[in-house]
Formats: sequence, C-alpha cells, structure tokens
Amino acid sequence: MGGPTSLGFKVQRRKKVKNLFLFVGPAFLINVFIVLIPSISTVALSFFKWDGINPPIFIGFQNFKHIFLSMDFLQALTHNVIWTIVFLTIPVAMGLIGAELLRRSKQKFFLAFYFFPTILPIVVVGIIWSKIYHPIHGLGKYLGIALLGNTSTALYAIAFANIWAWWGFLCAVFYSAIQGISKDLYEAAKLDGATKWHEFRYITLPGILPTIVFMEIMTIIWSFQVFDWVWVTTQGGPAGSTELLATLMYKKAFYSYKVGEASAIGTMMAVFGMLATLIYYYLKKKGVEV
Amino acid sequence: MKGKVIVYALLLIFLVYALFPLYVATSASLKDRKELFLNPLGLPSHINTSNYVKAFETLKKAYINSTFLTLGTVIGVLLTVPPAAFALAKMKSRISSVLVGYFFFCTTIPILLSITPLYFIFSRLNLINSITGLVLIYIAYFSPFAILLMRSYFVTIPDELLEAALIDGASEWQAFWKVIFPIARPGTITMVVIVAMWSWNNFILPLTFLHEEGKIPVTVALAMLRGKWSAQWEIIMAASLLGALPIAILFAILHRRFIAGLAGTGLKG
Repeated sequence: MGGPTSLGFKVQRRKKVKNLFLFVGPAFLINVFIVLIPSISTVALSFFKWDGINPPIFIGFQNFKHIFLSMDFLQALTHNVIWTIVFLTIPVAMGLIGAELLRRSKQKFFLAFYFFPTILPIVVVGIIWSKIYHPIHGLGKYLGIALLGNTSTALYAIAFANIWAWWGFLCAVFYSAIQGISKDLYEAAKLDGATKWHEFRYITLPGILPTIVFMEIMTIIWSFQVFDWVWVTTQGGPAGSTELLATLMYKKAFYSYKVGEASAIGTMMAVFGMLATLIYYYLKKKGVEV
Repeated sequence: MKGKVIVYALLLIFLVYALFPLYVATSASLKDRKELFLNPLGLPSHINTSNYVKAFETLKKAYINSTFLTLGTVIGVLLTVPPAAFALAKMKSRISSVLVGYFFFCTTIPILLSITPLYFIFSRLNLINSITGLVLIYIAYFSPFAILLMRSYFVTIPDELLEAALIDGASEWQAFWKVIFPIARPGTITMVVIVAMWSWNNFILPLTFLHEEGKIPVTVALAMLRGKWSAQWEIIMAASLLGALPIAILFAILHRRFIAGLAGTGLKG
C-alpha cells in the first residue's frame, strides 16, 4: 500500500469538504441569512441616513458623531456602564458564596431551587417584580416609595430583580467548576489545619479563577445587550432614567424610523462586546490561566 | 458544629430569597381584588382559582401560538444541529475550526445588531406575522449555542464507532443518523430542552416580528396584559404563572439537564 497519490488525495479532500458541507451547510446557511448578513447590514447602515422607506443616503460618520453628542445616548451608555459594574460584582459574589456553601454542605439539592429563577421567562419575572415593587399592591405600600417610578431608584430596582433571576446561574457555573478541583487538595489542607476561609481563599478561588474570568467577560458582553428587563418593567422611563442602549436603539429603529442612528447604536453595542472578547484573548495570551 | 449551622442558615436564606417572589405571585393570584388591596403580600385567606380561569381564557390563543413556535423550532434544530455539531467534532479540517470560531462568535453578538435589517428583509418577503418565519429566526439564533453544546458531547464519542459503521458500507450521512445520533441521545435531550425553553421564553423577536393579535405568543401577550387589565394584579399574576408553567414543569422533570447544559463548563473557551 503506497501513500495516497496526489489525485487520490484531492478526491478524498473534495469528499471531505462535500461531507462537511452536507452536515454543517443547513445550519450554517440559515445562520448566514438571518444573523450574519443582517448584522453586517446594520454596520453598513450606520453610515447612512435612512427612514426605512426612502433610499438611504450615505453620510459617513455623521450618525456616530450625532449619537455621541446626544444626551439620550450618553445617558443610556452611562446606565449600561452602571449595569455592568453592578453585575460584575454583586451576583458574582453571591454565586461564589452559594457555590462554596454547597461544596461545604454537600447539599446539591439547593442548587435546583437557586437555578430555577434563571430559566423563567424574563417577561414573567419582570411582571412579578413590578408587582412586588408596586406602591399599592406590593412592598411600595410599606416602604412608602414607588421604586420603579422614581428616577433615582428605578434602574437599581430593575437590576435587583435581574440579579434574583441571574445569580443562581453563576452559582451553578461556579459549583460545576468546583467539581473539577481535586478533592485531595481540600483533604490535605484539612490535615494541615487550614480554616474554611483558607480553603476558599487558597483552593476554591484559584481553582475556578479561569471560570470566574470567563463569566466576568461574558457579563460585560451580556450587560450591553439587556433589553427585555427594561421593556417589560419601565420601557426606559421615568424620564429616561432606565433607558439602556438596547431600548434606545429599538425605539429609534421601530418608533422614530431613524434606522441609521439606531444602527450606529447597535454597532457600538457590538463594539463594546468585542472589546470584552479582546480583553479575554489578551489575558489568555498574557499567560493568565484563563 | 457552629460552622455547619451557619452554612445551613445561609443556604436557607438563599432558598427563601429564591422562593420569595414566587410566593408573592402565587399568593396574589389566589386572592380577590379586595383582599389583594387590603393585604398585598400576606397569605390568601382562602383558595380562589377564578383568576386562573380568567387568565387562561385570555391566554388560550397565545398558548397555542407559543406551542407551535416551540415545536417548530425544536423540529428545526433536531434536523440541522446534530449533524453540524457532529461534523465540527469529528471531521477536523481548517474549515471546521473556522466554523467553530464563527459559531462561538455568533453566541456573543447581540440580537439587536441584526434585528433592524432582518425586519426590513422579512417585510419584503411577507414573513412578518408568520409563525413559520419566526421559527426560522429562532433556529438561526439558537443553533450556534446548540451546535457548540452538542459538539462537546460528540467529541467524547470514540472515532472507532463511526469507522465500524462505515465498514458496513453505509455513507457517513446514513451512519451518522443510524449509529451516532442514537448514542448521543443524552446530549440531544439537553440541547432540545434548552432550545425549547428559549423558544417559549423569547420576547424581543415575537415583539418585533408578530403583530397580529391572533399570532402573538405567551410572552408578548403577557406584556400586553398590563395595558388590558391595568390594575388587576390578581389576574396578571395568575396569567404570569400560567405563562411560566410549561417551562417550570420541564425544569421539575429535567433540572439536571438544564443545569448541566447551561452551566456545565463544557462550553468554556
């Protein structure tokens, strides 16, 4: 048996490509037509002035210049940054505490309950929390404040509701990562007389650091995409105090027919997400074990 | 001993926190208007299911629409995702690794990046208000994650299995569906459960692509209820819980698959 002749090799390779196309083609093509081409179109449209009806007019960077000089965009961007900071810290800490408690108690039974809120429709959870915050029919009656109706509390109230439906996911991710840490390490630490805090600080935390970093990066990406939470609770109000990039973009595209501006906002959302991805690869390259 | 007590106390606090909103919703859904007004957060004085009857009447059509959307999407991903995931796990080449990167990239880009042009394309094609059209969109958006998830299962299947199947003279396509696909059943079920949950729960896509009242799914119908029954929170709560019920039942039966599929570290990197 000799090695494959050049012709045989080519035939084999062509067969391989043909097979790959047969297997991946349908999923890939649907994705290209519905996700890739429209996404590229949005980036392209951000350089045009378009109302969705008349022919688009090329205007260069005017849309970007316009949004970066407009209060509503800067306000929404600020809200997204606040949102990101909140989600980079509070739910991650809760998830870590929950996961470590589950490890120490070995009561995995709790995890399903912690995870349950994360699979519910956001619409349902958003409506339930609107009821909880309600000034007549909820906590607001006792607190004497309409948490969703007050410009200084509304954004945090929505974030608080979102944390309820999110931290359990992080808890499960971290708990699953902890399962990958060798039990011997904990045993050895116990023999050396390490405290529970030392176990967490010197075994759990370094053991799941790559997972934590990955989830932090995903948190940045997801924080710039939040839409449903605001849409079902406040729609951006009162007075724009809960407007996020996603809701602002949606309103511009479908309510004020400023497709170009909306596309520029959408492009910026994607850019922030990609920056987070770049940070991830930078950290990975720098040799941080992530 | 003292440490153990603290651990359990904290676990219980988290449990109460996780259940509290569900308690508020359930107790409100069982009250009548007057009782809800007088006692918004306490336990109901008696069980009253009339809110659920009213809520179900209003949601009936939306329930049917959500069911079609979910079933259509599940069938779609069952046909397209497993072979794609298999090929990306086992037919190694430069193209396949580029495709893996592409699908990972897809899971990070926002839906909003594509939604506007897609809306104009779909209105040109007369696919607005079409449940079939929305099923296609769901398949496109959900399959990148589904492919990566199933790929991580296929990677663990030994190559010898496929080779043994190929010796029988079957083509790779036949060998895949007859031999590999049945073996990958646990992975397939996990993938289907997650896609079904996303299809049932999605809000922004039907909000954008379905406008006719007879076509909207449960999520959009629920968001509209608050306009319809502005202050009748007892009915809104009953409707919301009904809207989440199919997913809650699915979770009660298959919670391990949900957790493993969504939170397992298989997808990292």
